[in-house]
Amino acid sequence: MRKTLSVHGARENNLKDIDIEIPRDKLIVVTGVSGSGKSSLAFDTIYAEGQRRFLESMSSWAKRFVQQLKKPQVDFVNGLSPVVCIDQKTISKNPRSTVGTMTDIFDYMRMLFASMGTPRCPVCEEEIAVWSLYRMMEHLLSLPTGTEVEIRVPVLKIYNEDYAYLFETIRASGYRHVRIDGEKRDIGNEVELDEDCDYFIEVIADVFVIEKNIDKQIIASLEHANKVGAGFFSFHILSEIAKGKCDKFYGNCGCNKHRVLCCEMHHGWFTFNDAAGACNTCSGLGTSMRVHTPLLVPDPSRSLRDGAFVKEAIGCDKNTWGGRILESLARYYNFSLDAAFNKLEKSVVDILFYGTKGEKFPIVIPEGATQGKHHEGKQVSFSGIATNIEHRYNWYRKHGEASNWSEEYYRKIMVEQVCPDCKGARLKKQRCLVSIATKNIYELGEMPLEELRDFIGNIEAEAKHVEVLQTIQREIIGRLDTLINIGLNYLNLNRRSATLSGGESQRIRLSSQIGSGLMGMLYVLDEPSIGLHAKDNAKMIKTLRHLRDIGNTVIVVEHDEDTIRAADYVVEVGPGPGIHGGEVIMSGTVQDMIKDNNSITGQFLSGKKQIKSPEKRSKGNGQYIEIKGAEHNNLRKVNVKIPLGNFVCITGASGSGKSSLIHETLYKKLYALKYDSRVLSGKHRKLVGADNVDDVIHIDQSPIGRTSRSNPATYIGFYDNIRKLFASTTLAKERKYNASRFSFNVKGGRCEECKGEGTITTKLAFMPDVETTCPSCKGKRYNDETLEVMYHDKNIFDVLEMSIEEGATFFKDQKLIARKLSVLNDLGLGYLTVGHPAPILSGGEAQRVKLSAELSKSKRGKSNLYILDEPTTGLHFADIQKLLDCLRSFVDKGHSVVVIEHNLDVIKTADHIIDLGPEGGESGGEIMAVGTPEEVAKKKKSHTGRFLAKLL
Amino acid sequence: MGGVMDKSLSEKCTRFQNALDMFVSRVSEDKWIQAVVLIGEISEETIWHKERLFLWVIEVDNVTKRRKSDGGDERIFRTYVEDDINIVVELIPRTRFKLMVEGNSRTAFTHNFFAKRLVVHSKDPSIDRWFTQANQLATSDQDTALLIAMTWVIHPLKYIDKLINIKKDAELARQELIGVAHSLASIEIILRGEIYEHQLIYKALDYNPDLFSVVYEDILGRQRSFSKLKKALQTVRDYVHENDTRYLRPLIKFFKAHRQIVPLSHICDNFAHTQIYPWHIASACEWLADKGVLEKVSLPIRVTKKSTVDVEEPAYQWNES
Repeated sequence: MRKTLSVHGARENNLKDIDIEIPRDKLIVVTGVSGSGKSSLAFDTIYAEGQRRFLESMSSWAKRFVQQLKKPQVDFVNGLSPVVCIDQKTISKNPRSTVGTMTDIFDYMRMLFASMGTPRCPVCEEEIAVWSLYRMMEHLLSLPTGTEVEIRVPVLKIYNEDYAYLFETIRASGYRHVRIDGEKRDIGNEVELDEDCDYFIEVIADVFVIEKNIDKQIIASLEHANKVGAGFFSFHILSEIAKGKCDKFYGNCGCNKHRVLCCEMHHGWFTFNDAAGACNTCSGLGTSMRVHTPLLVPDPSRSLRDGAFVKEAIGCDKNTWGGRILESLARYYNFSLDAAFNKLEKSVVDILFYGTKGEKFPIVIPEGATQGKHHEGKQVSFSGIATNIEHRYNWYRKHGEASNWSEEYYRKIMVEQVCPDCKGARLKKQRCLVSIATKNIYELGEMPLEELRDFIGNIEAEAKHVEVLQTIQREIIGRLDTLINIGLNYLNLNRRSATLSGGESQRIRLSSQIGSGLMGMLYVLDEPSIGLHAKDNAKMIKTLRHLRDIGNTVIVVEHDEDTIRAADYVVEVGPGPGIHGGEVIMSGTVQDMIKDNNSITGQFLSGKKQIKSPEKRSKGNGQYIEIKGAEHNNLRKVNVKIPLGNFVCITGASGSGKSSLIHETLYKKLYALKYDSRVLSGKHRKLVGADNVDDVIHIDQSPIGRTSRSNPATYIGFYDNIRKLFASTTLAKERKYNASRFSFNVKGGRCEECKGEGTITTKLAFMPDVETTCPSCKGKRYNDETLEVMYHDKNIFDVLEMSIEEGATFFKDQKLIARKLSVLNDLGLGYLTVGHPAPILSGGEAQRVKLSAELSKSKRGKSNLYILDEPTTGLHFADIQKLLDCLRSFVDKGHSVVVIEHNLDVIKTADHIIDLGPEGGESGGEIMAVGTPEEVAKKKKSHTGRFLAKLL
Repeated sequence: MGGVMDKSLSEKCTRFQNALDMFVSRVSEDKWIQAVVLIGEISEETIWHKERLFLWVIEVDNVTKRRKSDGGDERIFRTYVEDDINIVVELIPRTRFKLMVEGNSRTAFTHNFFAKRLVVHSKDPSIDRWFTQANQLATSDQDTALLIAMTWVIHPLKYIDKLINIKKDAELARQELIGVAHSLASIEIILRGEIYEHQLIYKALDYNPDLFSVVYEDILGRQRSFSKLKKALQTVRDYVHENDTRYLRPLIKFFKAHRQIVPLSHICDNFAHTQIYPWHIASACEWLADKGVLEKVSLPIRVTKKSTVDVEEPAYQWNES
């Protein structure tokens, strides 16, 4: 059997025709500076080829259903196994995805409840028996022939709807008669009920006269009735029969008061993704939307006439209904449309938001209006802007018209609230009444994983359920153990996937893979250490080793020192980034790496090179921003003072509340105060010192663009200047070319054959798409006439192909362009071309492009607050130094930098540390230590402090 | 001649009845057949045009035998024969049949569909009971049926007015008015809690001769008199004016419940299940607005899912004054 995986002639992206042999069934770390080609080797070559070959093995018929992959630029890869990639990019934004669904634990929980749960009567909540439909049928057939029996299904009033709506729904399901508190009523006629009273309503599903051979009819009738009654039934004898028979029939048939029985439960009942289980009000989302009035008036200093209301709230044009209503209200209630909104009386604001409560007023046509004069003088009432929006939203939801677009539209003016019907449980009330050891499935989903593990392990079952229980217990506990061992014990199953960090999401998927127990696989992972505190890193390494030990090859793209040291085999790609990289510098054991003088990683591991702590820490400008009483998520009403004019690190275990404090509370509050009041910050009592910063800027590692039309020049904005420069040349002026002629996005100057892409993609039915250089422009993206225009002997395409380093010199007499190029160059991005397509920038590169965009902005305030969340992600030791230098330059200019970070090399260089903890989730949310790295290192109860002490 | 005709009709009736009896006697021995219902009737008034018998056969659930020729259609039709008379049968499983009878009656036609049917064979007492109930028109169904019929009356009124007064086209105006008269006839039938049936205009003439002599009989004559047409139109208008709030009750109820300006698109959506035409709803709202029962205004709406530009649509509000 092959012991190695060989790659020959890899040329993907910047790889320089490299050959490499990697041992199989080992833990391999691929490292190198940012942009050196690590991901090109691990993901774009090894993983891409493995996946492509797997898809290749399918029949032509099957290939029609999957997108075919392009063959990577490699001669061949030998020794491939089925390959699984666990990256950090695929975080589900679907609100229905939770930790429980991601890990499949929720599926087992559903099975557990369906097979062992104890249901309760939806009316009196008494425990009831579970019978199959066949058992019910046999029970009915046990009655004497000729007995008339009524089948009923109990129904509950629909939240926020009247009884008429319930009856309409029942009628639409095909039933015309109900019993209301026992009395038979025809719902085809109007039934008057007090909406404030609760009634015991049962649909009369069918009436049978017992005789032979009606079993099929009974079953069909029960099956249909099941859809109306959510699985609950009751049976009632209508005709006179012997008392003994009657007692026997009712003896164990349902709860004492209502005789309600439950039919056999199935797992679909317990999922919010199935209509049988999902809450009717929120369709299983657990949330609904309500209008948040401050979002309707982002700038209360504006007047109504000056557009105080956002356009989603009400149209203010004098020729629209909104304009007429505002004018009429102003005239009738005697207020001015030119007064600032915040100067209007409370009663007027109340009318604008919540209406005239039935009071009518005449329509007045605004002065200068050309339309709607026929409405003049009509008496109308107004239900209010907020009421109208909520009414429309509920209408869309109720009529199933809510689309992603309308949700997006309403999200601008509404905020999410917990569903008032299910209170966030996402399930119907009837489903939440099914419990195991007094806990329903939602309550179990709320438990921290460790507590849940103990609960599941302690469940006891009746003899007939023992085997089922053991099987399900084994699956659930196995998966929970993996999650706990991987350091995610603070999560719970109900946690939404969209709220997980990239690292948490990756580790969850890793746990699923471990749970699968497969061997002979090839796993490719992207920086699994991201988001992990030093104390949790060991757990991750243990997990990776476990994956290897069960017979898999694990390739990890990583910069973390502990992981590199734990590897069986290391590969360094380099030496530099971009065109300066793409070669294998060394491959071998960690010891080989340390000894290798060419290996920059080895030099950092051996201590020859290191990230130095600053000799003198900045004292700051003496000002502060203080968050008081922060209690978002798990934060425990903490008070935090952040010194300004400093480099501040926020540290703490995963899930300890760092992002809740900085991103959700501080950043969002400042953003709302300074730019957009629609942004809602995490719960806190007060924010002091917001005026001490001019601007707040959040810089993350998200891509700067998703199409090849986006590049550093377009992102930072100097491409416009370059285009203008070309438009100002003599030839361009002669030909009357303006700046847009030099854009590859619009018609005119671009090559129309490829629409400015430079390549043409041909789609083939069940073969991968083929990308070829455009035969018309030969990949130059512009037409010949445009390319004839030269600036200093270079045409626009030559400029796009120029490296940033080269560009800084080329444009030296163009101050604005040169300055922006120089900033990029100073941040170590000189190797990128000016037109480097954004999608192929690494996360670290994208982040530095954003930083350089900030650095090159001259109009920003003097005292800005920059917030970065784990900026070292994807950065090699050597790149971290560049990043720190850049951040330090912000501080030197008088700005403040707040960084959420786990990397101790970064933490030790901070001026001030705020450490949260002690652990994640419920065990976190407190301030453990505050001060300089030296002060924090002395705090014994701080995990960060302990690890930091070793470095200082 | 008449006597000969009567004799032949009576013989035809007997032949059809015998064929029905024979068929029923056969299927009554089939334990999987629950009931047989005759559609239409075997009588001397109707037998003259009959070529075949039409029956519903209600079968036990889950025993349906589908044939290739049934295609994807949920409804299954079979043709059998007795004494050379073809018997067209619609096979319906019991549960589905119950839903058809007891579910929402959407139109006057569906009332007619189930009511007054003759159950010629039944092993299941509940089936007999469903038919008894189907003969009683539920008040909500009655309201819906009245609403639909009334909107059919209101919708063409303005057009007829123009045909008479502007276009001066008496023939077209007469045709439109006869259509209106049929809708009025269905109102008169439904109003009395009866079931909408064929040839209802004759029944309506009996119930409300004053109305129908003007709106129907007077304009049937050969002479196209504009004065008669105008009188008929005015009579219809007066009738609608007098009864609109009662016959348009579901619409009025909707406005009263909403207590705010409601755009036409929402009103139409609300009544979509009744299969009422949206433009008929619009005509009814316009009528009520003209009368001052509703206040007509307009509200912004966007034409496509992705539009960012508003256009206006009619909107109405209950005018309590």
